[in-house]
Amino acid sequence: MSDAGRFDPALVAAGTAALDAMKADSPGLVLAVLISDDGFEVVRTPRMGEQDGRFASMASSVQALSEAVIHELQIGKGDAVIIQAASGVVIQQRVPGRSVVLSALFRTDESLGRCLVGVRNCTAALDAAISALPSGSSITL
Amino acid sequence: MAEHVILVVGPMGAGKTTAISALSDIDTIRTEAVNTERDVVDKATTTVALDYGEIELSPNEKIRLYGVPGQKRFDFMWSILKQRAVGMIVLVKNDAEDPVGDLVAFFDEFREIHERGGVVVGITHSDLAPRPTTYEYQQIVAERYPSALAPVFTVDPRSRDQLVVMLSVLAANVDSRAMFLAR
Repeated sequence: MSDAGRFDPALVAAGTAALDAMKADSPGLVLAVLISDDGFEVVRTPRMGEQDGRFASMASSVQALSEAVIHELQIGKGDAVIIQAASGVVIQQRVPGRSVVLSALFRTDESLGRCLVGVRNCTAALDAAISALPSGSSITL
Repeated sequence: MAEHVILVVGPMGAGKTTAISALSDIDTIRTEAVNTERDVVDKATTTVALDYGEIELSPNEKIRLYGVPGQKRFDFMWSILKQRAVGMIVLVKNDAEDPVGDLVAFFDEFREIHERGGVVVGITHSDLAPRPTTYEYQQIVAERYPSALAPVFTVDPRSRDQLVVMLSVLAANVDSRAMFLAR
Protein backbone atom coordinates (compact mmCIF):
# COMPACT_ATOMS: atom_id res chain seq x y z
CA MET A 1 0.00 0.00 0.00
CA SER A 2 1.38 3.38 -0.91
CA ASP A 3 1.71 5.82 1.94
CA ALA A 4 1.92 8.68 -0.55
CA GLY A 5 -0.77 10.66 1.27
CA ARG A 6 1.57 11.29 4.20
CA PHE A 7 4.20 12.96 2.02
CA ASP A 8 4.53 16.30 0.27
CA PRO A 9 2.61 15.95 -3.04
CA ALA A 10 5.53 17.63 -4.81
CA LEU A 11 7.84 14.88 -3.56
CA VAL A 12 5.39 12.22 -4.72
CA ALA A 13 5.15 13.83 -8.16
CA ALA A 14 8.93 14.09 -8.47
CA GLY A 15 9.28 10.47 -7.40
CA THR A 16 6.66 9.27 -9.84
CA ALA A 17 8.38 11.03 -12.74
CA ALA A 18 11.83 9.74 -11.82
CA LEU A 19 10.69 6.14 -11.35
CA ASP A 20 8.73 6.17 -14.61
CA ALA A 21 11.81 7.46 -16.43
CA MET A 22 13.94 4.69 -14.94
CA LYS A 23 11.37 2.10 -15.95
CA ALA A 24 11.42 3.40 -19.52
CA ASP A 25 15.23 3.14 -19.65
CA SER A 26 15.57 -0.22 -17.88
CA PRO A 27 13.77 -3.15 -19.53
CA GLY A 28 14.96 -5.45 -16.76
CA LEU A 29 13.39 -3.39 -14.00
CA VAL A 30 10.74 -5.38 -12.18
CA LEU A 31 9.92 -3.04 -9.32
CA ALA A 32 11.19 0.27 -8.02
CA VAL A 33 10.06 1.79 -4.72
CA LEU A 34 10.98 5.12 -3.23
CA ILE A 35 10.84 4.80 0.55
CA SER A 36 11.22 7.08 3.51
CA ASP A 37 14.03 6.30 5.92
CA ASP A 38 11.51 5.02 8.45
CA GLY A 39 10.02 2.49 6.09
CA PHE A 40 7.03 4.07 4.38
CA GLU A 41 6.44 3.88 0.66
CA VAL A 42 6.45 7.24 -1.10
CA VAL A 43 5.82 5.94 -4.61
CA ARG A 44 6.40 2.80 -6.68
CA THR A 45 6.50 1.59 -10.23
CA PRO A 46 4.63 -0.38 -11.40
CA ARG A 47 1.76 1.03 -9.36
CA MET A 48 0.19 -2.37 -8.69
CA GLY A 49 1.77 -4.97 -6.49
CA GLU A 50 2.39 -5.59 -2.84
CA GLN A 51 -0.31 -4.17 -0.63
CA ASP A 52 1.00 -4.23 2.91
CA GLY A 53 4.11 -2.07 2.76
CA ARG A 54 6.31 -4.93 3.93
CA PHE A 55 8.94 -4.44 1.24
CA ALA A 56 9.28 -0.76 2.16
CA SER A 57 9.83 -1.67 5.81
CA MET A 58 12.38 -4.32 4.92
CA ALA A 59 14.21 -2.00 2.54
CA SER A 60 14.38 0.59 5.31
CA SER A 61 15.92 -1.93 7.71
CA VAL A 62 18.39 -3.15 5.09
CA GLN A 63 19.48 0.40 4.34
CA ALA A 64 19.93 1.23 8.02
CA LEU A 65 21.88 -1.94 8.73
CA SER A 66 24.09 -1.36 5.70
CA GLU A 67 24.86 2.17 6.80
CA ALA A 68 25.59 0.87 10.33
CA VAL A 69 28.12 -1.59 8.86
CA ILE A 70 29.73 1.16 6.80
CA HIS A 71 29.99 3.32 9.90
CA GLU A 72 31.36 0.47 12.00
CA LEU A 73 34.04 -0.46 9.46
CA GLN A 74 34.81 3.19 8.67
CA ILE A 75 34.88 2.55 4.95
CA GLY A 76 33.81 5.96 3.82
CA LYS A 77 30.67 7.24 2.21
CA GLY A 78 28.06 4.65 1.35
CA ASP A 79 27.05 4.17 -2.24
CA ALA A 80 24.79 1.27 -3.11
CA VAL A 81 23.47 -1.84 -1.40
CA ILE A 82 23.34 -4.89 -3.66
CA ILE A 83 21.42 -8.07 -2.90
CA GLN A 84 22.09 -10.61 -5.63
CA ALA A 85 19.95 -13.74 -5.84
CA ALA A 86 19.32 -16.48 -8.39
CA SER A 87 16.31 -14.82 -9.94
CA GLY A 88 16.81 -11.16 -9.26
CA VAL A 89 19.00 -8.34 -8.07
CA VAL A 90 17.93 -5.69 -5.57
CA ILE A 91 19.86 -2.44 -5.59
CA GLN A 92 19.30 0.31 -3.08
CA GLN A 93 20.70 3.80 -3.02
CA ARG A 94 19.99 6.84 -0.88
CA VAL A 95 18.95 9.98 -2.70
CA PRO A 96 21.99 12.12 -1.89
CA GLY A 97 21.48 14.12 1.28
CA ARG A 98 17.82 13.15 1.63
CA SER A 99 15.88 10.93 3.97
CA VAL A 100 14.57 8.86 1.08
CA VAL A 101 15.97 5.70 -0.48
CA LEU A 102 15.38 4.07 -3.83
CA SER A 103 15.08 0.29 -3.82
CA ALA A 104 14.85 -1.46 -7.19
CA LEU A 105 14.46 -5.07 -8.23
CA PHE A 106 15.87 -6.13 -11.59
CA ARG A 107 15.74 -9.37 -13.52
CA THR A 108 19.06 -11.15 -13.77
CA ASP A 109 19.18 -10.76 -17.55
CA GLU A 110 19.96 -7.10 -16.97
CA SER A 111 23.67 -6.61 -16.36
CA LEU A 112 24.64 -5.45 -12.88
CA GLY A 113 26.40 -2.47 -14.37
CA ARG A 114 23.31 -1.33 -16.22
CA CYS A 115 21.23 -1.79 -13.08
CA LEU A 116 23.63 0.34 -11.06
CA VAL A 117 23.68 3.05 -13.70
CA GLY A 118 19.89 3.07 -13.80
CA VAL A 119 19.63 3.45 -10.03
CA ARG A 120 22.31 6.14 -9.88
CA ASN A 121 20.70 8.12 -12.66
CA CYS A 122 17.35 7.89 -10.94
CA THR A 123 18.61 9.04 -7.53
CA ALA A 124 20.51 11.88 -9.19
CA ALA A 125 17.34 12.91 -11.04
CA LEU A 126 15.39 12.74 -7.80
CA ASP A 127 17.94 14.90 -6.02
CA ALA A 128 17.79 17.48 -8.80
CA ALA A 129 14.00 17.43 -8.88
CA ILE A 130 13.70 17.84 -5.12
CA SER A 131 16.26 20.64 -5.12
CA ALA A 132 14.23 22.46 -7.77
CA LEU A 133 11.03 22.34 -5.71
CA PRO A 134 10.01 25.53 -3.89
CA SER A 135 10.15 23.50 -0.70
CA GLY A 136 13.25 21.61 -1.85
CA SER A 137 15.66 22.83 0.76
CA SER A 138 13.27 21.88 3.53
CA ILE A 139 12.51 18.38 2.25
CA THR A 140 14.30 15.94 4.35
CA LEU A 141 10.91 14.43 4.05
CA MET B 1 32.29 -16.41 30.08
CA ALA B 2 28.54 -16.98 30.02
CA GLU B 3 26.73 -14.89 27.44
CA HIS B 4 23.05 -14.12 27.21
CA VAL B 5 21.16 -12.52 24.35
CA ILE B 6 18.50 -10.24 25.76
CA LEU B 7 15.95 -8.31 23.74
CA VAL B 8 14.58 -4.93 24.67
CA VAL B 9 11.07 -4.72 23.28
CA GLY B 10 8.14 -2.36 23.53
CA PRO B 11 6.21 0.24 21.60
CA MET B 12 7.70 3.19 19.79
CA GLY B 13 8.79 5.87 22.25
CA ALA B 14 9.04 3.61 25.30
CA GLY B 15 12.77 4.27 25.67
CA LYS B 16 14.38 1.15 24.19
CA THR B 17 17.20 2.94 22.35
CA THR B 18 17.85 5.17 25.36
CA ALA B 19 17.96 2.18 27.69
CA ILE B 20 20.46 0.25 25.58
CA SER B 21 22.62 3.33 25.24
CA ALA B 22 22.55 3.83 29.01
CA LEU B 23 23.37 0.20 29.73
CA SER B 24 26.00 -0.57 27.15
CA ASP B 25 29.70 -0.75 27.92
CA ILE B 26 30.49 -0.25 24.24
CA ASP B 27 29.41 2.33 21.70
CA THR B 28 25.98 1.16 20.66
CA ILE B 29 25.02 0.32 17.11
CA ARG B 30 21.92 2.24 16.14
CA THR B 31 19.72 2.22 13.09
CA GLU B 32 17.68 5.34 13.58
CA ALA B 33 15.77 7.11 10.85
CA VAL B 34 13.82 10.34 10.61
CA ASN B 35 10.40 9.67 12.10
CA THR B 36 7.55 10.61 9.76
CA GLU B 37 4.94 9.41 12.25
CA ARG B 38 5.11 12.44 14.49
CA ASP B 39 1.33 12.23 14.78
CA VAL B 40 1.74 8.84 16.48
CA VAL B 41 4.77 9.52 18.67
CA ASP B 42 6.31 12.97 18.73
CA LYS B 43 10.00 12.09 18.54
CA ALA B 44 12.53 13.02 15.91
CA THR B 45 13.90 9.59 15.09
CA THR B 46 12.87 5.96 15.27
CA THR B 47 14.72 2.64 15.15
CA VAL B 48 14.15 0.77 11.89
CA ALA B 49 16.26 -2.38 12.28
CA LEU B 50 17.91 -2.84 15.68
CA ASP B 51 19.97 -1.34 18.45
CA TYR B 52 22.92 -3.27 19.79
CA GLY B 53 24.94 -2.95 22.96
CA GLU B 54 26.91 -5.09 25.39
CA ILE B 55 27.32 -5.09 29.14
CA GLU B 56 29.35 -7.25 31.50
CA LEU B 57 27.24 -7.82 34.57
CA SER B 58 30.17 -9.61 36.20
CA PRO B 59 33.58 -10.89 35.11
CA ASN B 60 31.83 -14.13 34.17
CA GLU B 61 28.65 -12.85 32.59
CA LYS B 62 28.19 -10.81 29.45
CA ILE B 63 24.86 -9.62 28.09
CA ARG B 64 24.31 -8.88 24.41
CA LEU B 65 21.45 -6.43 24.18
CA TYR B 66 19.31 -6.08 21.08
CA GLY B 67 16.62 -3.45 20.80
CA VAL B 68 13.84 -4.08 18.33
CA PRO B 69 11.82 -1.53 16.36
CA GLY B 70 8.58 -0.77 18.16
CA GLN B 71 6.30 -0.69 15.15
CA LYS B 72 4.45 -3.76 13.93
CA ARG B 73 5.50 -3.10 10.34
CA PHE B 74 9.02 -4.15 11.35
CA ASP B 75 7.89 -7.49 12.78
CA PHE B 76 10.24 -9.36 10.42
CA MET B 77 13.05 -7.98 12.59
CA TRP B 78 11.24 -9.30 15.66
CA SER B 79 11.20 -12.78 14.11
CA ILE B 80 14.90 -12.63 13.33
CA LEU B 81 16.02 -11.29 16.68
CA LYS B 82 13.90 -13.43 18.95
CA GLN B 83 15.41 -16.67 17.65
CA ARG B 84 18.54 -16.43 19.82
CA ALA B 85 17.17 -14.53 22.79
CA VAL B 86 16.88 -16.13 26.20
CA GLY B 87 15.20 -13.20 27.87
CA MET B 88 13.58 -9.86 27.29
CA ILE B 89 12.95 -6.53 28.88
CA VAL B 90 9.52 -5.21 27.99
CA LEU B 91 9.38 -1.44 28.25
CA VAL B 92 5.92 0.10 28.42
CA LYS B 93 5.24 3.81 28.12
CA ASN B 94 2.77 4.54 30.89
CA ASP B 95 1.42 7.72 29.31
CA ALA B 96 0.55 5.93 26.07
CA GLU B 97 -3.07 5.62 25.00
CA ASP B 98 -3.30 1.95 25.96
CA PRO B 99 -0.23 0.87 27.94
CA VAL B 100 -1.82 -2.38 29.11
CA GLY B 101 -2.70 -3.25 25.52
CA ASP B 102 0.91 -2.54 24.56
CA LEU B 103 2.18 -4.85 27.31
CA VAL B 104 -0.15 -7.65 26.27
CA ALA B 105 0.70 -7.23 22.59
CA PHE B 106 4.43 -7.60 23.20
CA PHE B 107 3.98 -10.43 25.68
CA ASP B 108 1.92 -12.30 23.11
CA GLU B 109 4.28 -11.51 20.23
CA PHE B 110 7.35 -12.66 22.16
CA ARG B 111 5.64 -15.47 24.06
CA GLU B 112 8.31 -18.02 23.16
CA ILE B 113 10.98 -15.99 24.95
CA HIS B 114 9.20 -15.71 28.28
CA GLU B 115 8.17 -19.35 28.01
CA ARG B 116 11.72 -20.62 27.52
CA GLY B 117 13.69 -17.90 29.32
CA GLY B 118 12.87 -14.86 31.36
CA VAL B 119 11.16 -11.50 31.22
CA VAL B 120 11.08 -8.30 33.23
CA VAL B 121 8.76 -5.36 32.68
CA GLY B 122 9.89 -1.76 32.91
CA ILE B 123 7.27 0.96 33.17
CA THR B 124 8.57 4.24 31.77
CA HIS B 125 7.10 7.74 31.91
CA SER B 126 5.28 6.89 35.14
CA ASP B 127 6.11 10.39 36.33
CA LEU B 128 3.72 11.63 33.63
CA ALA B 129 1.07 8.97 34.19
CA PRO B 130 1.08 7.21 37.61
CA ARG B 131 -1.60 4.68 36.60
CA PRO B 132 -1.62 1.82 35.89
CA THR B 133 0.58 1.00 38.86
CA THR B 134 3.20 -1.73 38.97
CA TYR B 135 0.79 -3.77 41.08
CA GLU B 136 -1.91 -3.50 38.43
CA TYR B 137 0.56 -4.66 35.78
CA GLN B 138 1.61 -7.55 38.00
CA GLN B 139 -2.00 -8.62 38.33
CA ILE B 140 -2.53 -8.50 34.58
CA VAL B 141 0.59 -10.54 33.90
CA ALA B 142 -0.30 -13.08 36.60
CA GLU B 143 -3.80 -13.53 35.20
CA ARG B 144 -2.86 -13.75 31.54
CA TYR B 145 0.53 -15.45 31.75
CA PRO B 146 0.51 -17.58 34.90
CA SER B 147 3.70 -19.41 33.90
CA ALA B 148 5.68 -16.20 33.41
CA LEU B 149 7.70 -15.00 36.37
CA ALA B 150 7.74 -11.35 35.37
CA PRO B 151 8.89 -8.75 37.89
CA VAL B 152 7.55 -5.27 37.15
CA PHE B 153 9.61 -2.14 37.79
CA THR B 154 9.15 1.53 37.23
CA VAL B 155 12.25 2.70 35.42
CA ASP B 156 13.86 5.75 33.94
CA PRO B 157 15.45 4.46 30.73
CA ARG B 158 18.25 6.99 31.15
CA SER B 159 19.25 5.50 34.51
CA ARG B 160 21.95 2.87 34.17
CA ASP B 161 21.64 1.96 37.85
CA GLN B 162 17.92 1.24 37.60
CA LEU B 163 18.38 -0.71 34.40
CA VAL B 164 21.23 -2.79 35.82
CA VAL B 165 18.96 -3.88 38.66
CA MET B 166 16.32 -4.98 36.16
CA LEU B 167 18.86 -6.73 34.00
CA SER B 168 20.44 -8.53 36.95
CA VAL B 169 17.04 -9.82 38.04
CA LEU B 170 16.34 -10.96 34.50
CA ALA B 171 19.70 -12.73 34.19
CA ALA B 172 19.09 -14.52 37.50
CA ASN B 173 15.65 -15.62 36.33
CA VAL B 174 17.07 -16.87 33.03
CA ASP B 175 19.77 -18.85 34.84
CA SER B 176 17.24 -20.31 37.28
CA ARG B 177 14.91 -21.33 34.47
CA ALA B 178 17.79 -22.94 32.57
CA MET B 179 18.87 -24.92 35.65
CA PHE B 180 15.29 -25.98 36.33
CA LEU B 181 14.76 -27.14 32.75
CA ALA B 182 18.08 -29.00 32.74
CA ARG B 183 17.05 -31.19 35.69
